[in-house]
Amino acid sequence: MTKANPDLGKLAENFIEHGRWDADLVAELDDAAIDMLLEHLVAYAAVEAAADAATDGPVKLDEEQHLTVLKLQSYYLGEVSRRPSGEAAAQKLARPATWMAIEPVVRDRDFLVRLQQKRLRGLGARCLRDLADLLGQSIDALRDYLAGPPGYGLATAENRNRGKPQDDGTEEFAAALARSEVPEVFKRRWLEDQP
Amino acid sequence: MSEDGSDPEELVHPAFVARALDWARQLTPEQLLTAASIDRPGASGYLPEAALARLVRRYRLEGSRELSDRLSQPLIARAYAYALAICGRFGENKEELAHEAMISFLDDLAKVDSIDWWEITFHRELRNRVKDAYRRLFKRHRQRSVEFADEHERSDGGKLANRLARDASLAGLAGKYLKTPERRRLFMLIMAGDLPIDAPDAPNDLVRLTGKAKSTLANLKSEFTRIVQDALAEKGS
Repeated sequence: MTKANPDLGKLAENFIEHGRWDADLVAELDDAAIDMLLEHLVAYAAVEAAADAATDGPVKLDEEQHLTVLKLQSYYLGEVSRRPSGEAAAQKLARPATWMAIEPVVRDRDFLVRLQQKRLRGLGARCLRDLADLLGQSIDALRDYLAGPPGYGLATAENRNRGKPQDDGTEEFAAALARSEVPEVFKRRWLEDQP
Repeated sequence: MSEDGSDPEELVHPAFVARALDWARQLTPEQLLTAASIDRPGASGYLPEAALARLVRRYRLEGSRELSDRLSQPLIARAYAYALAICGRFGENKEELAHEAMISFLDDLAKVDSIDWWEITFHRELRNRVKDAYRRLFKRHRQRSVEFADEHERSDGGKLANRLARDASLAGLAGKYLKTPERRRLFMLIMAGDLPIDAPDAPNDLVRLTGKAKSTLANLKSEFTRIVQDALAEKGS
């Protein structure tokens, strides 16, 4: 039986870089998947060997290659201009799913719930900047959103807030952050930068 | 590994990117463009590619399209120079591989607004896109039927390693004989890749790809062949 969607690239990387071979997973692969795994292994080996051998660093681009860069930039700009306009930032930020998408990084759902509900006061500039980057929004759009009146944006089931103030009101950002399970790297950055 | 030596597992800017972004906030647009044009890592004012990718997206999101567009040019140039440095080892396929990897990067740069792996481990991500392109190329090559004359000069098109993966698994080999990433890479290239060891008339070969001598690679092939034969004999006994 073939395992559904095994990450063959990761299998190849683990073998080449660390000598780890998931024999149980490989045993479940069918012939087509084994072939694909071999392709991943060879591609990984070839590119990393080439990168190791390229000791002179990046190529100094000649005139023709600079022209290629301009063509590539033109491709990029074309892709940007073809992007659908999509929904406005304020609408996106009002959607709980937008905030829950960064839960794997921020790691504290309740903290995000309170942010999304605009119940935390006194966010520093660095925190706003980092959150805007994580959410893929402009800092102005995020600042405007958070300046709005507090409100419930998440379904009750999602808004557990266990062990957190049940005051229906707002709370100082620093206090909520210190109590949260947000990774230390963010806590340090954001607490250092309190207004 | 990231450019600063850490091995991040999450979409959080590593310290060297966060520092560069904090510093970039103090710069005027003209200063930013000057800094972006510095392409020597370690030079004063150098902005790493991972930070540049964020700045291109940030200014695009904030409505400063002109600055974003202008910053994209040095970023694309640096990425292309890095891709070419690697793909230059692939002979006549170098332009195709570099181009495919670049298109994949530019699609992500254009379509994603939030932090992604380009902003964490830029060079690893670019190498991964070259791997994807190489994998497709390798697949096409494997599908062609080729007769190889000389065992030491030519690869076997992956038959040996393919059979090995089915019959013996690479686990035992990795533990016993292939103890470094370099040996594991060379094992896969020599035993399963489609490039000949040394073929000056061919578009590319392993001597050119790895920078190693023909005799070294031929000796390794003999050694690896013995290892595989022993492993298969051990499994069969």
